Amino acid sequence: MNSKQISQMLKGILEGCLLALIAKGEIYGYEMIEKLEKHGLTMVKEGSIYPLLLRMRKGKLVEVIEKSLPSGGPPRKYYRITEQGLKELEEFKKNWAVLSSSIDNLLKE
Amino acid sequence: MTLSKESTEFLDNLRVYLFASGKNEQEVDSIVSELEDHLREAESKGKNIQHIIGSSPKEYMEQLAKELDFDYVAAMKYVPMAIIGFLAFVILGDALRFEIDYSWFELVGYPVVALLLIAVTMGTFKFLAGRQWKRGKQMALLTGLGIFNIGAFLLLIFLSDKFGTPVFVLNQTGQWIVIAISAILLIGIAILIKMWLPIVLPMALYGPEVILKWSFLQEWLKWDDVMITFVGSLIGYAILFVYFIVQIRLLNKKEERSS
Repeated sequence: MNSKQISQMLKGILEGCLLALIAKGEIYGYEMIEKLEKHGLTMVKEGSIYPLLLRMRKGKLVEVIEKSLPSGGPPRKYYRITEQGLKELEEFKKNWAVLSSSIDNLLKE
Repeated sequence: MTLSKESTEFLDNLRVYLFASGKNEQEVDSIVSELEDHLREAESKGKNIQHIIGSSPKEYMEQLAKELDFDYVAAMKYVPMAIIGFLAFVILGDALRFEIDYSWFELVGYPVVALLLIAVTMGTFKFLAGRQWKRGKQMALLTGLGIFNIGAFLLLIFLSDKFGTPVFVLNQTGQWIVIAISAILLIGIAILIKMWLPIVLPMALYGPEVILKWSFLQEWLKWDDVMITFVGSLIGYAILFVYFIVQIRLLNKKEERSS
């Protein structure tokens, strides 16, 4: 697998994937990576989700709730989707459907 | 489970990098602690830091920095404070030697040099944080920074002696007033930033010389001005050295307690 090509391709769609994960329920950073891996997205560089999460937070697509851990230490940040985030996710799903079917078509010929 | 040395170093460097880029302190703390949480969990599952941030820490730091806003509020608070503190420090030194006579050159030059040094110092720390240099190489660059800072002043004083004519001279009462105002400003800044440095620094660098010049000590020691300046600076550097050692110890203890 050409990892450079994949990371270039992922750049635009990782945000949509994260939105989809967060839409399923409150979740923290490391859990997102585990879920992505479970869906086969093992090529995502783990740290790369944090700049995206910062941007999504600034764009009010997600919000953060801090929860203290039973083991002590600083509280853990859980992400939750907002109304605006849900709208963005719908948009992403539509766009992805169009894009993926068009490219599939193109490659099949 | 404790974090590996590489991860701890990366988090420390990230913090410095983001601060030196003028990012908000709370936001910096927030993202650093989130990454610490992630690294802890990842390391406990046997992953190493390259797996998480990729091969270039600097590139990753820059990606994070791009998503955080420049903290104008803090800059508006700290930059004037740094300049005022710096000027109060210089003026206090001159006033204690009763040497307040400034040329235009110095009146304009000091604030300009202060701004330049703040920018260069922040830039240097940001530069260092993004690179994994060996300690020796780091110290060499920081020593260079120190020499540059001192050099900028010496150049200013030299040029002023050569070309500047005093436009601003104070009498003795005036000098005492200046001493009082400078001291109040420095104490005020120390309280605002909750650090002893703005008080300790002038006390260490000016205090010994002032005390050695007390008339009864001078009669007893019979030292000339050069000797007094020399011994005074030695005592001053010794005080600063002890102060920094104590600070580092305190910081280490605080970190041990929090982890």
